Amino acid sequence: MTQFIGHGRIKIVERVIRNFGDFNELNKINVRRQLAHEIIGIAYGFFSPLKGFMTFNEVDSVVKEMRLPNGIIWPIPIVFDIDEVNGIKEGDTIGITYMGKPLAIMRVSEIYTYDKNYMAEKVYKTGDVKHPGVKRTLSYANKFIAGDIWLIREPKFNQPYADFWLTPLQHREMFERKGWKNIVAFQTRNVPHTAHEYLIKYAWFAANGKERVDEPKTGILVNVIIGEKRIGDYIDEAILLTHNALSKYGYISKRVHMLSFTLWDMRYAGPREAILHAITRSNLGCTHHIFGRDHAGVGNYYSPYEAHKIFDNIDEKDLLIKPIFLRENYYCPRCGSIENEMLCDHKDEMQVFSGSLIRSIILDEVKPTKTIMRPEVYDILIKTAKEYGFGSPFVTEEYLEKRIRIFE
Amino acid sequence: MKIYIWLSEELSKKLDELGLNYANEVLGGMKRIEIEVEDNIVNKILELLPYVKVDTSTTNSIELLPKSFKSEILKTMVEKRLEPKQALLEVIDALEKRINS
Ligand SMILES: [Zn+2]
Repeated sequence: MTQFIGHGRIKIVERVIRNFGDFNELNKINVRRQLAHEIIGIAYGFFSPLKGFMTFNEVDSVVKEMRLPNGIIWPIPIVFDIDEVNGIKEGDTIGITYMGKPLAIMRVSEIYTYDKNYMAEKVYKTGDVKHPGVKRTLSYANKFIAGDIWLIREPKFNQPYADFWLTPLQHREMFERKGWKNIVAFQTRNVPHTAHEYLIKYAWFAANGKERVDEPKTGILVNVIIGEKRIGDYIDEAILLTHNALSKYGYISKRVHMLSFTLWDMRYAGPREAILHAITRSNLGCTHHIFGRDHAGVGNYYSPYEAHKIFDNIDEKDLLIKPIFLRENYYCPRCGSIENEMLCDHKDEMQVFSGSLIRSIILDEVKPTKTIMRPEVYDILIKTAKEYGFGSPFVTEEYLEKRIRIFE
Repeated sequence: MKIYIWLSEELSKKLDELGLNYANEVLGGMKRIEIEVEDNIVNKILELLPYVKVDTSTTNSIELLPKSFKSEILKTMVEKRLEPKQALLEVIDALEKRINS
């Protein structure tokens, strides 16, 4: 029997009503993409035990204590902001539409305000509006509505997303079918180079622990974050299809590799976001989570391994998932292989895989050596640029305007 | 300010064979030519290719130079056995003549 116990040791329940009849009679709110994605995430249990958007007390407790009022650890407020109440009252059931179509219903339990500056300072450890998470928080509307939600229309994903969409329960069924007892999650918004590949491989060994190695008892879940895109990011289609190429062409065996995605707008909350990633992946059924350098960070707001340190203050019992901490990999010309500071002593000669370096190679349209990027990964990257990116593997204005919808 | 030109494995081999060893190995066997350019050259390039980006904050280099421009520099190096800076100046001259004619 597949175990559906999620974060907080609470059973994951899908909040989906398949034949809801009275939608037209409800007071309605149309939501933006962020909220639509979060509604879908909540409904399928990615954010279990949340059943909806947070109340004042929940937000306050999360902001101050990093816990829900019931003691369950939770790092980032999940809130529904609203400009105009438009006659909505506490106790009402309202309809939620997205892009003009019914999406969900919500039972409104509270309408409240919260000090957004305070929320931002506590969650992001800075009030600097240049921090994208702070900026997002401060741009929330002035009121918040709380309440449980139910999805009434399930998203139909377009290709290539459809191939990689799984709900938490479907993730667990897949893991069970594969016979995996340990599943290590790898969080990404990147096209994989070999330093990523080896990060994943090192983590596989750590997660496999004392299991024998005649049959794969440990698997890797590469879980892509799909949400808000910024100019210069890799396009979503390229991230998915290049990670898929890594296993398709055998660089990471299919026997231990799975690829899926989570709908979530990165908040770049560094350490707090690392905890959120651990929580969502534990809801997918993962037992381990990779944390490398600068996990979910941005700019210089967090130190490179700050997301590791936060776990010092978290009791193991509070999470169903174990962190695996890894140093940043580099190419060592002396060893002739991918190494890191923990594994070889040639730090002075290290060749770092910086994002801007890889980006400049791609912009020069030069095929990287297989030591740094697998040839099929590069070929697929160029192919997806043509097919989905209007010629660019990186997000452009044109992509933002005309990209394929993720779901209908 | 710098101009960076990445080399494919084939081209890198070819330049080595011709004794034009101006590239540095930067990452996992990937080689890159670096050309230091003074302000007057930067301004000239901006005049001829107004869409390029002069990045002073992170990479300290001229970004978004078209592939054809970089290829032309490499081609000139190979054909005339020039060092990178001279090849760059020749390519700029040729481009200027073409635009002004
Ligand atoms: Zn070494």
